[in-house]
Amino acid sequence: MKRLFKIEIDRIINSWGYVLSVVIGLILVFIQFFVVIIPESNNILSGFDGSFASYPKSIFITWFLFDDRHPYMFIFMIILPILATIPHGGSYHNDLKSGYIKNIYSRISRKKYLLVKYITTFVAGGMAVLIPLIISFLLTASVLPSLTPVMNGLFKLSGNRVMADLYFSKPYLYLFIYMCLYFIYAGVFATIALSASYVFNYLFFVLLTPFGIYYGLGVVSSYINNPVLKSFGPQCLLYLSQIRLVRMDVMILEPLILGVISFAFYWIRGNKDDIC
Amino acid sequence: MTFAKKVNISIGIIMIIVCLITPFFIIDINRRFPNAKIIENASVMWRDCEITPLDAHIYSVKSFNNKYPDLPYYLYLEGRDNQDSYYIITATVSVTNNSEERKMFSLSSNSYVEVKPIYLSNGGPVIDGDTVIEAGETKNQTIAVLCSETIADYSRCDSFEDNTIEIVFSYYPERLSVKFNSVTVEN
Repeated sequence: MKRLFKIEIDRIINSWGYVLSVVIGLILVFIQFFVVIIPESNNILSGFDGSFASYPKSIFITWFLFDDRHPYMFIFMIILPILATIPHGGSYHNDLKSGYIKNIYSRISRKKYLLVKYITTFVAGGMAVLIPLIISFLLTASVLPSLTPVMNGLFKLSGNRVMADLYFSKPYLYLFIYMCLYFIYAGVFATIALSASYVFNYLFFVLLTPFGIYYGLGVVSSYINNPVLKSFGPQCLLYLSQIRLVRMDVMILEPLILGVISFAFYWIRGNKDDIC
Repeated sequence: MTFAKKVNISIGIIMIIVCLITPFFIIDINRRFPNAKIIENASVMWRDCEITPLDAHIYSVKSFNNKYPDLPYYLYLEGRDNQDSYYIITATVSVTNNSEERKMFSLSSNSYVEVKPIYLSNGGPVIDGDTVIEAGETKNQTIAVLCSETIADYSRCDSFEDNTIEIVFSYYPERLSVKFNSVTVEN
């Protein structure tokens, strides 16, 4: 199994999909860094007069995922499932179609291969999304101070949002939790492509399925508009400023349910289906 | 080694370099702009005025409009279906003009009200008291702030009496505020 992990990791590192995904993410964060962050960092006290309504520039106002005055964060959120799926989401489909899987199954058990494939796809998808965010955060934190958010209206979160108390007291922990959520959501959406390999013959549709589900959930959420569930579209759940009301349990349960359903489908079909 | 692998390894190296170099810059920028000092005194000096907290109340819409029937600010809320989800928080302070000139000082334009643990923050009008204060004079002012579930999380406290009300005049470089540790709930 270790050898199989090594082979799969080698495939990810050698794949253009991973390069493309990370580079697109890095392009977006670098553009935001040079267009937005650097000018702000040249005048951290701009607009600050000591009154309650003003505050120096802080990373927790203008970092990439908080920056909703510019399009870069929105583009990133739109293409998030694609960035997660491209690295390794289509590899299972390719293995099935090319017959490579027969070589694997003649050497190791199906269960081990399916498990290794799932784990590596999950991690590759999560890392492809997380790497640009980490680099963006480190670069932004090195030029803007990490001033704790205050409740004077300059910081986007209001008091009735999930983890608002954490945001206003321990903002780094708030960010860490959200980064973990991004990793999990990206990983789950990447693994949806594994299940889609059994449904579609063409790689294009396999890679597009996570994107379709990501958007489908958002559309359904806005139609249902349930006051108890609140918003369950992944874009709203991952929005750091929580522009729409969301629930903590929905933020945790949604990737769990999606992950369990897609894993179950992938696992059952993977173990049952003939490969010839 | 394939070209894709070289690119991926280069990205990894860049990431390691960024992780090694940026901590120095992060420490430096946060030393130059540290978090605000929190000043906890019974009263604060702000714009040559000494402000001392007196009392704070939380009213329902009905009880506020009964107490202040001539004030138009929150009359529009009475009779609404969701009237019970709104509260009006009032805070009274004394303002002493320590300068040698007559001063115009209004809580509305100089401060923001924060209520924890429901994490409300809002401004509001001065509903009682004079905003023109002669040199050496002390006058009381009362500010009223609207609280609703769209801006505060009521589930964070079992009772409004648990809340701490703070009037904040400045957030940086020092957090200057007056605290009201006890709140009277008027139903």
